Parts: sequence; structure tokens; C-alpha cells
Amino acid sequence: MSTVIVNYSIKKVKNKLFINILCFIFYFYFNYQDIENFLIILILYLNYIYIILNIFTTRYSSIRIKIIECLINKEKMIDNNWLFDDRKKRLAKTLNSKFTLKLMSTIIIIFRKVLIR
Amino acid sequence: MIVVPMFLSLVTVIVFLYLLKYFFNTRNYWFLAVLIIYTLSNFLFYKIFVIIDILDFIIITFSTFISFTLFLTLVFNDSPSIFLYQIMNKKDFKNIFMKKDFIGNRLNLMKKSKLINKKNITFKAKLTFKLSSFLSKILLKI
Repeated sequence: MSTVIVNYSIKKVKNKLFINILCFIFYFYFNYQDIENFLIILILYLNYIYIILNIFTTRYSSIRIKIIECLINKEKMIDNNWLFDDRKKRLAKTLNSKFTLKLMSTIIIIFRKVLIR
Repeated sequence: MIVVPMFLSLVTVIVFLYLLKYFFNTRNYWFLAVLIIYTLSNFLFYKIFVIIDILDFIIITFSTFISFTLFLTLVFNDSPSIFLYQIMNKKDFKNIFMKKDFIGNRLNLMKKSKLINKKNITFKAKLTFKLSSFLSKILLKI
């Protein structure tokens, strides 16, 4: 609930994140019972953040959603060239967060080696 | 403790998927496999660890299941951004990216999951699109 309120009342993304985390810390400060309870709420919070981030990335990066959008709006269908240019632009913008990309990439490579033949 | 059986269930899923890859094409059936193994193992560990807070246990296992499957889509379906990042240092990285044919792959997956049929959009696809827009508006206001 606090996330929705914060998102509707604050414009800057950085401030949104900061206040969201602050709300979470306050919640802990006033509701701390024991380490087990802390761990459960922390996992729930991380899951929640990950799901929210996925909702965002699905709406704005998912190829499937983009294809559906093209079909609904009767626009020109996207192709691999468009995808390449789009992702190249995004990577150039996100070079500052190279560490996150490298970390994600490494984790995915490990999982792929373990789970896919 | 609720967290221990949940982690054990995740480990069980990974171990089972590792073994299953030698018998099945896990790329096609990974979601079904994860759903079955995760549910059964959680049920088993729930009995073994004698958990009292059933509601807490259901909420935490369900949210972890959603997050874990969202992560596994990156592993099994490939992300174009991460793939591009991985091949960026190679000479002909554009050709490698084109050969991967992400659009064709997604169109096939969409046909399989009945989001489109013969280039026509289905009700399921419209619903998915509207739900995605609604959630991003409510939760992220963008």
C-alpha cells in the first residue's frame, strides 16, 4: 500500500526508491520481534521488489508484449534489427550499472549450465 | 522455522531439474516440472518440520515460487539484453545476435501458448496486455 501511495505522490524515481526502502526500515523498526520474523519479512519484501521490477520490465521490455502492442495498434511488426538497435541503445545507457549486468549474466550462465543440457 | 523448508524445496527443485535434463527437454516443460516438484517438496517439508503458521508458510512459498519462476524464464527463454551483453566483445556480435532470432522464437512461443494464431491476436493476448498495463500503472504509475 505504501508503494502505491509513494508512487503516486513522488515523481523522481530515485526518491521513490529511497522512500520505499525507508518505509520498509520503519516498518521493521516498529515491528521487530525476532530474527525469524525479520528473515521472513525480508524474503517477502525482496520477492515483492523482484515481482514489481518484473512487472515494469514486462511492460516495457518484453518482446511478447511489444508484439501484442504492434498487433493491437496495427503498427509495423518489430524485427531482429529493431531489437538489436533497441537493446544496444539500452546497454549504452546502462553502462554505469555494468556490475548488475555482469552479476545477472554470471548467475544465468551458472543456472543454464546446471539446468539445460 | 518457515524459511528452512522453503530453501530446501528450492534446492530440491534445482537438483530434480538437473537430473531431469538427461531424460526430457527441460526447455519445453520446465514450468510444469518446477510447479510439481516445488509443490510436492513443500508439502513434504511442511509435514517434516511440523509448521504451525500455515498461512505464513503459504504466502512465503507462493511469493518465492513466483519470483523463482520469473528468474527461470531468463534462464530458459534467454534475455536479449543479457545475451547482447555476453557477446558484445566478439567481432561479429550483430550476426550472432541475428542468428539467435529472438523475434521468431517468441512468435513460436506465443503460438504455442495461444497468444496469437496465424498473425491474429487472441483474447488471451489482449487480456495479458491490459493486465500488464494496469499493473504497471497502479504499482509504478508509468
